[in-house]
Amino acid sequence: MNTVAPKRQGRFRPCRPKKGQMEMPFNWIYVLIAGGVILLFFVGIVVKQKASAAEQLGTEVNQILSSITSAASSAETTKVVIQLAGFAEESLSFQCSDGVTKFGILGKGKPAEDLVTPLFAPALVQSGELLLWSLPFHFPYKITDFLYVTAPTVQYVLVGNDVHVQEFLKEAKSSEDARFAISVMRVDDIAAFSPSAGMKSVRIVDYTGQAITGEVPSSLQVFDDVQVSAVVFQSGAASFFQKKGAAWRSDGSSLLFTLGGELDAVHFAAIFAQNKEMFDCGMTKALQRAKHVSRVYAEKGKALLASPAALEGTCPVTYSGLPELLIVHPSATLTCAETYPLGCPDAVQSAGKLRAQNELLFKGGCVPLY
Amino acid sequence: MTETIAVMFIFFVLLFFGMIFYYRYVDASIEGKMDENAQRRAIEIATRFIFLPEVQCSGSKTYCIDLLKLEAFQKVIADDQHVDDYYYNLFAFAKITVQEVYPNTQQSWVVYDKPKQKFTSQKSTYFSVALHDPRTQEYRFGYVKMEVYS
Repeated sequence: MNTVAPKRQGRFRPCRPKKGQMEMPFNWIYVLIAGGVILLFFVGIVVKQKASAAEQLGTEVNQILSSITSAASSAETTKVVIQLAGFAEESLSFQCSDGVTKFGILGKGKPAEDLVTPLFAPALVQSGELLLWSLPFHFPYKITDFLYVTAPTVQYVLVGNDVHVQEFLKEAKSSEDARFAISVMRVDDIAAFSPSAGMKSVRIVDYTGQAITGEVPSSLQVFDDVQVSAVVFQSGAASFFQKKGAAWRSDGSSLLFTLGGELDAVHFAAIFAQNKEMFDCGMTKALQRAKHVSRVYAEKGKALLASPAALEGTCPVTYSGLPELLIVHPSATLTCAETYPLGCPDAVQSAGKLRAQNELLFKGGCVPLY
Repeated sequence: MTETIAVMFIFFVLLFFGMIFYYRYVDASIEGKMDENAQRRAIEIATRFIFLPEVQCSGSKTYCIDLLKLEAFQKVIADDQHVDDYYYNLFAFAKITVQEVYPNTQQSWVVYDKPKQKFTSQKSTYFSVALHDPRTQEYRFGYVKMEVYS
């Protein structure tokens, strides 16, 4: 036993420090790898959370924008300013196709979608403020409210002396909210025009038919193509143009199906819509609504005709033209909505007749349809 | 080795509790947000209905409902599924009831009724309105009850 013990001691003694030397580096490598993996895990979570938070914020902002636009379009003739202080550097995108308006912060979150409200806006808006304006669309009774979205960084240049020029200049500011101010100016010669400082995009509104002929004015050639657009009003139609390099590219024309009058919602829709696609899309939405509203008025008309009020005084005579119009106009509106723009001239005609009939009822002391 | 396992065990136990706490917090904040959204939607839909040209009094009088148009609208929605689908885009899953309060307390109109099959919450909003009958030129008093499902 005595001879074995020293031998064993002698055998293991040199090994102990060796084992210790091997364990220490192994532990450090292990700790580094494990620590690195754990660190990566948390870094991954943080990065993912940050991305999803930005996405979520974008979606939330888009939803809030949707609520605001919905409220603004519900109330008639409203002028609202929305502060976008935190998003002044972001671009808001608006587009409408196949009857669906999509809008929101460009590249952030899911854009808000709207299938009902006719919304007209520039394709891209970069500003710390949004200006929302709504006007009622009558055909001949109120159908819906058109919502126009713009910003103080969009400059509207009016060319000509049309009655609409004075109307737009007057309406560009709100009497209730001093912050509501659309940047608008009238010029005689578009070639001599230069945009005001700080403008991000320019919209030329031409009533002469002469302004959008040659090249894009030199002062506007520094802008990106999407930032410069034009609309020309001639012979009851709106022709849309977009800057393409130094030239104007035509987007096509749309007939304005409207009964006219002061603050014509359709006319202003053509001013604020970026292009023909957005204008036609908004009009299609409005006419789809008109289809349903007309059916409601047809039912109301029937109830009115069957009521004792329709038999008072000379009212039976005054009402005599109404039954036919209550059939013709909803039918014409339906055709217009389904075949836009083909069947719409008939609908405009029947809307005019219905308006005249309603005025007769009003003047005759009978209960009017609307 | 035993020490390392013990450290790892405690680490994972802490991580586990941390994750449970985090998910409970996220769950509660999502529920709160959903509740807030439902409330906002109820007010938004009620506003839309009050200003709806299909039922609003002539001359765009606010907070006034034309009873002839209301009955006509009720009929048009009930008669045509396409029309009902169209108004789903405006009101979604909701029930809109117009209740007369004076003079006839029994009169009510269910204008739109599209309940959600498995709803998690139901928010109600009330708006008082004038009810105008163009035939008699009488004004009555009532309210709009808006029930929104989510």
